[in-house]
Amino acid sequence: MKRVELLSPAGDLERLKIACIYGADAIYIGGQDYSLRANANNFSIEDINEGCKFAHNLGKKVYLTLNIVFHNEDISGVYDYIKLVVDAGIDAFIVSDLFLVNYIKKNFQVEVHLSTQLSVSNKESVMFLKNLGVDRIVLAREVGRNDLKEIIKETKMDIEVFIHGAMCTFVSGRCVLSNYFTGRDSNRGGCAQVCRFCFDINDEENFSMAVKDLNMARFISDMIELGVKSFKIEGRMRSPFYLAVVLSSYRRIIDASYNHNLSDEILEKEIKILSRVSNRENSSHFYLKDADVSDQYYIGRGEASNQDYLGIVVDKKDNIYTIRQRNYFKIHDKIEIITPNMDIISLDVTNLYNEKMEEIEVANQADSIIKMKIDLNLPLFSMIRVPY
Amino acid sequence: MKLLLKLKDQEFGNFLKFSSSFLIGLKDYSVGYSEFSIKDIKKILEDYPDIELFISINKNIFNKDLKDLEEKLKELSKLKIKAILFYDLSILSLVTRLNLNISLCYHQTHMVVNYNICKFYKNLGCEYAFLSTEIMESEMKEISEKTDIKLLAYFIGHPVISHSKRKLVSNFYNYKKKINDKKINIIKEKGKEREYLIEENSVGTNIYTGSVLNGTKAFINLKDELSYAVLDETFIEKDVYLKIVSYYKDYLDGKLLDLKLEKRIEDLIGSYDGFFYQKTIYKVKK
Repeated sequence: MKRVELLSPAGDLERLKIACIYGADAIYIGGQDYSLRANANNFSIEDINEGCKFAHNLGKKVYLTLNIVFHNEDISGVYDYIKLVVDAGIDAFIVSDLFLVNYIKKNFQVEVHLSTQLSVSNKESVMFLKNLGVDRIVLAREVGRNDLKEIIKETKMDIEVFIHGAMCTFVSGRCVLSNYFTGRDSNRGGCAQVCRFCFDINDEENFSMAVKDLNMARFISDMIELGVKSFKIEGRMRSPFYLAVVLSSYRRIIDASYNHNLSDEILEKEIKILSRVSNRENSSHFYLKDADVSDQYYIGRGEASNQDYLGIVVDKKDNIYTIRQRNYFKIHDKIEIITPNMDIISLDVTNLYNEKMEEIEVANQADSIIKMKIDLNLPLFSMIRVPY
Repeated sequence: MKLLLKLKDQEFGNFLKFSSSFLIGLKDYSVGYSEFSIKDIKKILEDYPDIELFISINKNIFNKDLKDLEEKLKELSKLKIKAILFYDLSILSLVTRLNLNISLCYHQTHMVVNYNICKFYKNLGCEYAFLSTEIMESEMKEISEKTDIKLLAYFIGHPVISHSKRKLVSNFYNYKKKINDKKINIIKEKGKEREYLIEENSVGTNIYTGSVLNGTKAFINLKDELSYAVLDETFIEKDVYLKIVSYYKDYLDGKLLDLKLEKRIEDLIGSYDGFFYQKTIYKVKK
């Protein structure tokens, strides 16, 4: 039986590679046009080509989001663009405008996945879309367990669900607050997250519509049983560290589920790791009940800042590692290194150098390049973090 | 172009001299509409047999709704309604699969923004499409030129700008441990003056613009391009709405000139014209 897919976001080529080596089975990316994260770095055609080669060599797939709601002015270039990215090697498109389904299926041998932007929430609609030629549907975030079970059982459609990350307060595709508050088009990738703004309501202050993040770690085994085909992680603009930690954690949970050794102890440990890397509280929202006050977030935009991520190994020569630093650390600090092989190595910082190999005492400039001598064989993209 | 009046109650008689086309929501199945049961709809059609009645079924449908929805569609197919405006694809699917005698209007609120999607739904048998309020007059014109689906557009009222399945207002008051008995609530971004309206109903929470959209200039410019102009009474005082409708009718009858209509409507509701002449941006990086 084919195992469930762990689907990761990637905002750029480096993150795609990180996702591939930290446990994702497939990666979804945005091109420089037509994607709902218009302000992420996104991928050029050359990046897509390189990313697909990298992923395919490891047996992974790459999906391209083409999920803006098209205005007239967006249409003329899209057909040429589709051909370019198919030639670059992508395995599937994620679309929300249905006029693209026929075109892609008629002209290319790639899958078409329907974006959650269309908020598909019932079996009748799923069958309708299946008959139109859609290969997979990302269901509405409001679909609960019972509906999910029934949809999979009765339609046999490939179903993808979000398992982790930020949630929309409003039904996807049915919110244009961003357009009205900021002039930025939410359905074309410009969402300004107005739902996280602070409001007054009537005579009350600090009204918020923000919701907690999604964390479905406790229901992974259940959803595998139900027959979900793909578990999707939200966040094409998330850091490499976030991706590495979240993917590794879900990889371990999924593998343990299939191996029938997912104990409560393992699960709680992974949930603790997942919670630590997030900067908001989380819940399972609509999975077991209608979302309610317990799923809301009433502390405005004050989110916990996480400084666990210290740096990433971006190059190595012999035992000299080149590291792109993220947060402050210094000589004599204790650190942990996590690797794509899921190893966790504890170390004391005994040396630090700047880019010119001059000794330094502290690493205190985010995104600067530093070097360390480490007598271990660490893979590229190993991550340095504070000890857990 | 005909006037399609979206009313907040059953007082159709007050408006028959201005238009015979009306738009209402089906009870428990609509977002941003006054809701009417099948029984109400039958009564309306008995009382006003010559009207064109459009019915919106635009909430998101879940499995538990499907059986009842199917029954309601079957009942509606036996009535002399003009069309059903749908959001959820299950409605298009059911009407097609059951071969029901119902005309359909594609009404995915903020998604009806290009000519290809209108052509797509026309090919699936939809007779009408209700254009989004977030596109420009020039985009509406281009859609009209490139498709032959009959088009509806929203020119007057407080459009819905977001919909959630969550109970956002009562959740907040629960959290505050306070009681709120207001049906319509007003929200303002902290430190800003512009107001928005927020209400809860059986299907969730809706937010509407606080200012009344005045699309009169676009209405004048598009009068030969579109089939129906939707004038929405919701949250507007009845006497003001009556005047708006009567001025629009006079204009269509050739009794009012362009500028005169614009001036009269502006005097009544102001000049907020939404996105008819404002292009949205979506890339903020240089």
